[in-house]
Amino acid sequence: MTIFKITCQEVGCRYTIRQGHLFSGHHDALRDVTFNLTDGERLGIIGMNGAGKSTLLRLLAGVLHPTSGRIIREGNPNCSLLSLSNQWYPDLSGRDNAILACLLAGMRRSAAEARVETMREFSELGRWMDLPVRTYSTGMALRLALAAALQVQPDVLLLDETLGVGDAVFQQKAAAAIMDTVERARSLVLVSHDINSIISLCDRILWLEDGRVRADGPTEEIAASYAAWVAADREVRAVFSEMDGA
Amino acid sequence: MNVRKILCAWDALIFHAACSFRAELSRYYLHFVWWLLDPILTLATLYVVFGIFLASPQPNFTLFLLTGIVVWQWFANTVTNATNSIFGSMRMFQQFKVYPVHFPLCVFLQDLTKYVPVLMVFFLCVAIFGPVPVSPVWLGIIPVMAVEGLCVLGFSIMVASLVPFLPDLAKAVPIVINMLFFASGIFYDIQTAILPKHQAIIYANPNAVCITAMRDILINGRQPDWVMLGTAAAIGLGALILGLIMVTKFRRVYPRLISQ
Repeated sequence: MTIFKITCQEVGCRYTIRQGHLFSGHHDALRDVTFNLTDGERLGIIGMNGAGKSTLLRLLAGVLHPTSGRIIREGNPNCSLLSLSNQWYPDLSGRDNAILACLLAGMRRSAAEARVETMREFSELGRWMDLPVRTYSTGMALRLALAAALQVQPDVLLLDETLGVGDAVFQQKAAAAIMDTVERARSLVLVSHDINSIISLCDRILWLEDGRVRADGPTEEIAASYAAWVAADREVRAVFSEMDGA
Repeated sequence: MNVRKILCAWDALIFHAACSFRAELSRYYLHFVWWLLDPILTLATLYVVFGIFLASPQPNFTLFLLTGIVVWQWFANTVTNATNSIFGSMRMFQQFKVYPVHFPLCVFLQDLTKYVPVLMVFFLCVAIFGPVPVSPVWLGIIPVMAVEGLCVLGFSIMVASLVPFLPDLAKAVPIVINMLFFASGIFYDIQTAILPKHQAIIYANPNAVCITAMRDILINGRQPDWVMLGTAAAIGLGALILGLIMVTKFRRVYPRLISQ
């Protein structure tokens, strides 16, 4: 088994945003991000909304490419992104969408089709699996997304806010399945706003703020700093809120 | 790119085209009947206007019209459908490492699957009711349709590759398609209706060349103009190469553009 390592060196990611009729601006979602992810490591990524967490996951997955800096992948690890974005074609059935998702994730067709019943059972969709996704509720679509995403067996599992899917009963089943995949994956990168999930699953935390790395270190140390920062931020917001009210 | 990745991409392309095709079939009550009704209704409209109201002197006018419509609609439908195929697949780029050319190729395969039965029915009708018997000259249909297919594929990929950078192109494409409809010789004979000094402009449209070539074979029973067909093939190949260069060169840019 080849040991792998992913190194991000001063990685930046810039989006082009159209402004007005003829002009375009840009948004730097990430700037000068430098860190390593080694074989066997479990990394949590925290930060406020818009800090660049999802962008960083997509860069690690290879879905996006950096506009500055570079990402070096030693050992060519297979990275799989498990996120719950709306990836479905509404006119295709759940079955067809799930197979297509597996194919686009790098599976051969025979393997993907062999997993259909497993996905049907896990998602608890039953006959709905054969109906167009446009007939699904949001929860059903999310359950299908999770069922399809868990079929891939990656070296690096990238989770983007996926731990709270579905109703309470499904969440327990989903958590067990995700943990099983986490155990089988060699490394994990978890983005979550739930700091307790990060603390329980990760041994290192990367704290992003406004697209830059604010802190990178052991879970306990960074989690404590983050909690203190969040509490202080809340107090400041409360004071300003009172002043606005007065 | 290794062999496994190519095979996986191929699997995904074929499956996507097949299930999109099935989904489209199930969307309408008349299912596949629309594939035949589309050219027939267009034929009926043009025949009433040009054949009856304007009393076109063109011999075998029904076959003349139908040849033009059948060839044209493959180009018009596929290029129109492929226009937003990359731009409209934003969610896929945010989740998967997918090659942008997958999407216009999928549209091409889907529309080809619909087009082939129409073509078969058309050729069968011409073989039975046409003015010239089936002969070895009919073998020329294969290269003519190959050239038309090359143009359809080339322009589909080229337009799809440009729209993410110029979304306004998606509005311009139907207008250009409409202009080309009138510049393809569908309801008139280019040789008799267009001044000689303007014919070169019309024949710069590969569809006009392919329609003329098809009529030469099916109505006049003669070989098409291979030089003009070669020029049309070169135009189609040029569009294909430009499109492939775009989707390859900007493969890493599309996800950030589309994520605006």
